[in-house]
Amino acid sequence: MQDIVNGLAQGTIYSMAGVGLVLIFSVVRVPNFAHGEPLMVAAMLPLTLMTFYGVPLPLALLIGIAAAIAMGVFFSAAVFARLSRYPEVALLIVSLALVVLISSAAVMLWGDSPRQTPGGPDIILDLLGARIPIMWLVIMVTALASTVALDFFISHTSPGRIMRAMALNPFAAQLMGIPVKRYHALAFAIGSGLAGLAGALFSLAFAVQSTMGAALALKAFIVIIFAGMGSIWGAFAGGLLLGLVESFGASYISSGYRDTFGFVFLLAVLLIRPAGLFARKTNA
Amino acid sequence: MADVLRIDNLSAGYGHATVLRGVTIAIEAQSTVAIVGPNGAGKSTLLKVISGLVRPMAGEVRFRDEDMARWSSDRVVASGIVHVPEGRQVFPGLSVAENLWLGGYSHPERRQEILEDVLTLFPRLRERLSQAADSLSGGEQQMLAIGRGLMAAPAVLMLDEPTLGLAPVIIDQMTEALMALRARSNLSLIVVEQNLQLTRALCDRAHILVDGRIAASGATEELVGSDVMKIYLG
Repeated sequence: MQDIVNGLAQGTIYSMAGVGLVLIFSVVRVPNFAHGEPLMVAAMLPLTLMTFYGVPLPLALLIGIAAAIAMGVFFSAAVFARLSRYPEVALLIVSLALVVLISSAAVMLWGDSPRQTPGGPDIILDLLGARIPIMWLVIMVTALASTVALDFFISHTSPGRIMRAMALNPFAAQLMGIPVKRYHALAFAIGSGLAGLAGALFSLAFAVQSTMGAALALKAFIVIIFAGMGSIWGAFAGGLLLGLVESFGASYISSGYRDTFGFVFLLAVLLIRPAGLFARKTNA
Repeated sequence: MADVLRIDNLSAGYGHATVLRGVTIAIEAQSTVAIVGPNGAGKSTLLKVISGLVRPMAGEVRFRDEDMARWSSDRVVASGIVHVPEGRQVFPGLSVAENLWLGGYSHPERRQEILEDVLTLFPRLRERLSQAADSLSGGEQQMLAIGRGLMAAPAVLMLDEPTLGLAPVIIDQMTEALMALRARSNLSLIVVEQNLQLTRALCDRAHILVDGRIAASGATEELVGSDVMKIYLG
């Protein structure tokens, strides 16, 4: 039971990062390996704001999330929009360069020691012998609520419909007169905002550090690859599954290989279902 | 009649490959013009340059006497130039109604009014409004693509191979619809088409594009069946 709870708690963070990434990847078609950096900034910034500027916790968390959104808009408008005519591999290298630059700056600013944002609820529930910090439940409920909200936004609002169209046929979307760069920025803002929300909550429950972004982005990519590209709920479920795989692997095999289990699982999924676990059959 | 669109000495291409070389064309307001030519002549590239999807390497593109060579594709559409691309390019997972709604992006305040107009022109689409676009037949998808283009209330509508891959009976229906479109007083049509019968029925003037250059221009009646047309199109 404890392994399940641990896995789900970790997995919800992967879910939120994966859901944000799947939105960016579907709409903008950029392999954004810098997706973990807004998450890292939203995780690291609140403690600094609280310690040095006396900012109260809720405001510090909101500023962290706002910083993540601003980073996403910056990635879109100042970096990827200017490189839109370059091949995907060039964009991949640029996103990796962003990872190196931002994480290096973060290490200079915050060092690379793990830290946790204090002030979150510290009640621990006991359920069937499993210890469940209430903060984990907050994270799970927030992840579910934010995914429901995003699904509603994509399915039932005008900007959401436009982003769906851009994901389905970017060429035709341009010919409809849709200002694609504006919607790319919106997709980046929402996707990075979700990553920021994940980071801010994560820092209240787990240790975070300034070098965590790359690993989390990689896991978000694992999630969207094995869930099947383009599915928000697939990414949500995929994140939970990855958390469970890591938790059980760490518990029954070795915690030293925790990060390896996700990759092994990804390879197994790709061999059995190359389109991803939750990919639907589509008409050609 | 004044020119609504003027292309002067236009060169364009992709990367280092030049596709269009010194193309000059004038489109009169409310006229219907055909661009014909063999595969790879640069017809679709010409439409992409006008749409703002491909940047010119040299030359001018002017719309209502305004230089539009550097306009973004959304500004081109908002100004009244709409491109219905080859292969229909409908949004496959969205319904017919959603596809049409997206076509009206640049004129949200007139969406309902224009939609009625489009559904009058293509009554088949009214019956299919809630159906997924990719479940339509080829002819219906082409109607949807044209209807979606009309939703932007264009002054110039560019159609790239509108009858490509359609059955003869559907081509007849499409010709009829395009003739009805032509009768509208406020619309200029540029049609890239290999089907000479349609070109002849629909277009006042034709330009033959060969290897990125205009090989001949003139009244369609004179060009269709002329030696120059036979040489280039067989």
